[in-house]
Amino acid sequence: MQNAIAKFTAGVVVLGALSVSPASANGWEVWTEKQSADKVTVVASFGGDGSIEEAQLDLKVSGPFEVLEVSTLRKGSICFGNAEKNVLRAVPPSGAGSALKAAMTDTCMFTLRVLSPKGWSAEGIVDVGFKECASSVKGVVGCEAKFQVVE
Amino acid sequence: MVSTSRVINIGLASLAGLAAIAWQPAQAQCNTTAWTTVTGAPVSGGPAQGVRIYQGACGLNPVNGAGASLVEEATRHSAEGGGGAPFIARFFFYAGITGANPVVFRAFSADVAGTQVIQVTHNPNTQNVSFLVNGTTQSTAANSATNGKWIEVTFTYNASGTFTANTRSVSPTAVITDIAGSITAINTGALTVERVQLGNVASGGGTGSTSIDEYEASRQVGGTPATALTPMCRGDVNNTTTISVGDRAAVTAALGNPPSFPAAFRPDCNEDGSISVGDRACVTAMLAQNPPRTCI
Repeated sequence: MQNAIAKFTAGVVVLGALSVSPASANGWEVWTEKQSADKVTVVASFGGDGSIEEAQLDLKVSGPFEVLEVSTLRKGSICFGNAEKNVLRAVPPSGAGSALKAAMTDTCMFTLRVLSPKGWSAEGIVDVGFKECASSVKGVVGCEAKFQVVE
Repeated sequence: MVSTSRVINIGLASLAGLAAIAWQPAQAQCNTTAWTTVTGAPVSGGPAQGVRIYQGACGLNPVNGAGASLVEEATRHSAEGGGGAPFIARFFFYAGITGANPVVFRAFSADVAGTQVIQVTHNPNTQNVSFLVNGTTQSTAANSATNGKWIEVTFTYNASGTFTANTRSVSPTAVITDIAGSITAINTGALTVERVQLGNVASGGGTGSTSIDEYEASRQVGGTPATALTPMCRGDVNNTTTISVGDRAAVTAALGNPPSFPAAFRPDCNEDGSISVGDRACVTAMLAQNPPRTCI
């Protein structure tokens, strides 16, 4: 992760003990950070394995929420949130026959308002709704999604 | 009582085993052996042969002009009911002819000869589809079947009842938008459908060419209703019932060298008759739709 939360929310929060290991590729990393009593920021990052040309992550949110802001962190990505359908979608631009780069790259950032704020935490606020990676050679292939909390 | 309905899916290729080797270079041998009669020497094949495909590796380019192509379904109805048993069918044709109105589908009441029961015609001037049944012609709305696109036609024919039909094609200006066409019910006679023809099956003429693909039909047998035809979801290139990035990869595979056209794949997302980067952009546009676009 290139620390998009720190980069894009500078001045809003002071990041705590952020422990980020060197970027590891092959799959999604999802970072969540509690911003206030009812606000959370979610960043989806992707790194390829040298063959994956396409990647998609649809996150689902635990409990009712409102989408406050969606930022596209990588040009050409698809990023949107829909509370009614309970989906936060992150799709890097198509590799169009070439592998997506292996370095973990921030794709989308979502800022949400939690509508049932009592007792919620950044951990477990989002989960995988749908996940897919593919290449034109192998078709649909597996890829992981790891969840991390910025404390 | 043995009573069942049956789906007839007459592809335009001998593709046995192709689906099982998905993502391998398609080496399909396209032919018309699944059809009982072919006239006019139509060309079966894929993009490499200059033939447009809607699904899989093979489509059919019928002869345009005086020599019409004829494809019959003569051997597949012996156990099927008549006398009011509904006959449902779907096929795709490419609206590529101008300067004439190609008849793209006919149905007859007998295996050989017989009386014409249904006729489907595309009008490139008004860009719609006309249905002639039992002496009555009805047309879909103008601009509901635009030139340069695949047109999906579905209908239900109920002898001594009614005939209803719908069309669908992609907007020429908005790739994520489908245009629907329909007619009101036409009263039918007692004749049943015993044979069908697809292609450019009348006098031909005009310029350009049409293509046909994915004819599928079902009808009532005994007391069991016809089986509903499985919807084909545009944008679901790899036929997983989900529109996702796997579909973009499938388009890329179809653009590869050699191209990959597994039997169940539909890479022509924008349905313009060619497989191109526009189809990958089409899937991308669908992925970006909010709320998410779904197949069902």
